[in-house]
Amino acid sequence: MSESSRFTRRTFIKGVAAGAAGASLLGSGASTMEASQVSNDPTMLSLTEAAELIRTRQLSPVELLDATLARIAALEPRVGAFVTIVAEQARDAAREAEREIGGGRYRGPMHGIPFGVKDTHYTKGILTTARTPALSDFVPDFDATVVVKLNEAGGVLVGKTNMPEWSFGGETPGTRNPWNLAVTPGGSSGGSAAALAARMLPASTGGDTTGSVRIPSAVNGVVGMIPTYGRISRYGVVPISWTLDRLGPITRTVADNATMANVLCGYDPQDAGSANVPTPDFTRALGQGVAGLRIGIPQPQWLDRYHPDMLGAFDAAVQVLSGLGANVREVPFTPAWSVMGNAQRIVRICEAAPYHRPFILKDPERYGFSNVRRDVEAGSLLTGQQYNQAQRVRAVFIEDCRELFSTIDALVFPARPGPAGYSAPDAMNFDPLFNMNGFPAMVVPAGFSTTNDPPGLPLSLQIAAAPFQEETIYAVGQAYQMATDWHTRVPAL
Amino acid sequence: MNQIPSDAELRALIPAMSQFTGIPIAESRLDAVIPAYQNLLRDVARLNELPVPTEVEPAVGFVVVRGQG
Repeated sequence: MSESSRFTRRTFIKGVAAGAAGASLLGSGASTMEASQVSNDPTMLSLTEAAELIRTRQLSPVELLDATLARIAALEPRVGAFVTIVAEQARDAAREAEREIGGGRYRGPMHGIPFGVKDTHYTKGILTTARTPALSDFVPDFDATVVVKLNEAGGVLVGKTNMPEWSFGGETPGTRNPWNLAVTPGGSSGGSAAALAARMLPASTGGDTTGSVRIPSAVNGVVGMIPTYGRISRYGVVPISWTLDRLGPITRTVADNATMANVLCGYDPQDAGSANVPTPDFTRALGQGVAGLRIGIPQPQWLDRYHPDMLGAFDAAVQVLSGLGANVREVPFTPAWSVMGNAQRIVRICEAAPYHRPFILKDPERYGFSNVRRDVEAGSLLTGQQYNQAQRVRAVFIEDCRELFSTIDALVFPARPGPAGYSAPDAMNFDPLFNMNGFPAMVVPAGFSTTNDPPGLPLSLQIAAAPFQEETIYAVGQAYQMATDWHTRVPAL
Repeated sequence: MNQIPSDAELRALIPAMSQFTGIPIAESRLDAVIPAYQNLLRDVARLNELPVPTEVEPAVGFVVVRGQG
C-alpha cells in the first residue's frame, strides 16, 4: 500500500455542494456559483474544512494542491492574483506533507494547506520583488519569520501575491476583483484578497500600513485581520513604516483566520517591535458568542457620505449582533480621531523616506510608474519637528482609544465607506487610525451592494478591540458569521 | 505659521533645501513633488490645530504596552 493511498475517498462533496446551493438561492444581487460547479472541487473547502479532511486522511495534500494549481491555471489570466507561482516546490512540499501525515506525524491545521504570501515577504531562493523594478531580480537567502512559521506548520507555499509598487496605495495594478473583473480589488494586499475570493487559495497573508490587509479583504468579501502591533513578526518583510506596518492573515472565514493567526503570531527577537507576550489559542474564542458584550458603534455623523448600501448592511449587522445578545450603543470619538488620518500620512512618509533613500540615490530610474518616488521625495522635506508633532498627536489619540476601550469590549463600524470603486473623499476613513493606535482589527463580509453601479460587490464590517484582545474580535466575528451566510458565497468566474 | 508655500516659493526653495535633507530633488522633479509636499504641509497644518498638552511625549518608540490586555 503506497503512502498516498492511505488517504481514502472523502465524503465532503455533499456538504460543500449543499452549502453552495444554499448560498446561490439567497438572491442578494451577488453573482454566485451553482452547486454543480463546485461539487468535487476541494478548492471550495475552507481552510478548516480542508484541514479536518487532511487530518482524517480523507483528503490528500497532493490532491488539494493539484486542484488549487488547476484552479489558479484556469483563473489567473483573468484575476491576476500572483507575481510568482512555485508549482514544483509546492508539489514537493505537498508530497512531503502527505508522507508525514500518512506516517502519523500530523503537525496541525496548516499541514498540507496551500497558502500564498504577499510579494513583500522574503522567500529563500524565490524572487521577492515588492513589485518594484528596484527589486526585480532580488532573491533573498532567507525566509521572513512568517514564512518560516507557515512552513514549519506544514503549509504548502504556492506563490507570491500581487501588490502595488513597494506596497504604496490602495489599488493593485494587474489584479481584478473576482466579484466583478471591471472593478478594483483594492490594495495593497489585493492579490492575496482576490486569490481568496476566487478560491485560488484557502489562506494568504497581507501587510497593512494604512489599511492594506483590511481594504482589499473588505472589497473582495473575505476575512482580513491585523492583530495587535507586535503580535506578528515583520522580520524579513519589505517595510513602508516601522511603527505602522503590521502583517495579518487573509482567509475566507473567521475560524480559518483564527487558525492561521495561531501559526503567525509569536514573539520574535529579530523584530524590534515584537511583543514578548504569550499567544493564546485564538480558536478557543470562536464559540464564546457576544451575549453581554459591550459593543460600541460610531455616532451617525462619523458615517456622513457613506454609501447607502454600506449603511444598510451596517445597520443590519448591528441588528444581528443585538439579536445575539450584545449590548450595542453609540460611543463618542474625541477630536484626535478627526486628525489622525493627517498624522498617519506624516508618520508613514517620514518613516518611509529613510528606507527608500539608498534606493533612490543609487538608481532613481528603477522606481516605476507609480507615485512612490514622488511621495518619498516630498516626505524627505518634512522636518523632525513635524514628525514628532505627528507622533505627539498620535500619543494623545492612543490614550483616547485606551479610555474608549475601557468602556467597551469591541468597536464595530463599516469596513469601508462603500463597495469597491465608491469614491467619497470627505468620508471618514477609519482604517489608518488602527495603524496609529496599534489595536487589533478585522473585517468580515456583511453583504453585497444592490444599488451601486454595478451591484453585487461585497460590503464588510470592521471589528476592533483593545490591545491583545484579538479573542474578543474572533468571538464577535464568528458569532456574526454563524448567524449570516455572506462568507459562503462564491463569485461566478 | 501654518501657511502653505506657493508653487513659486517651493520651486525656488526645494532644490536647495533637498541638498541638505538627504534626497536631492532635481528641478525636473518639481512638478510632481511640489503638490505632494503641499498636501503633506496641509496635513501638518491640520494636525497642528489639535491642542496637545505640553507634557505629551511623541509615540516614536512605539510599542504597545506589553503583557496587558
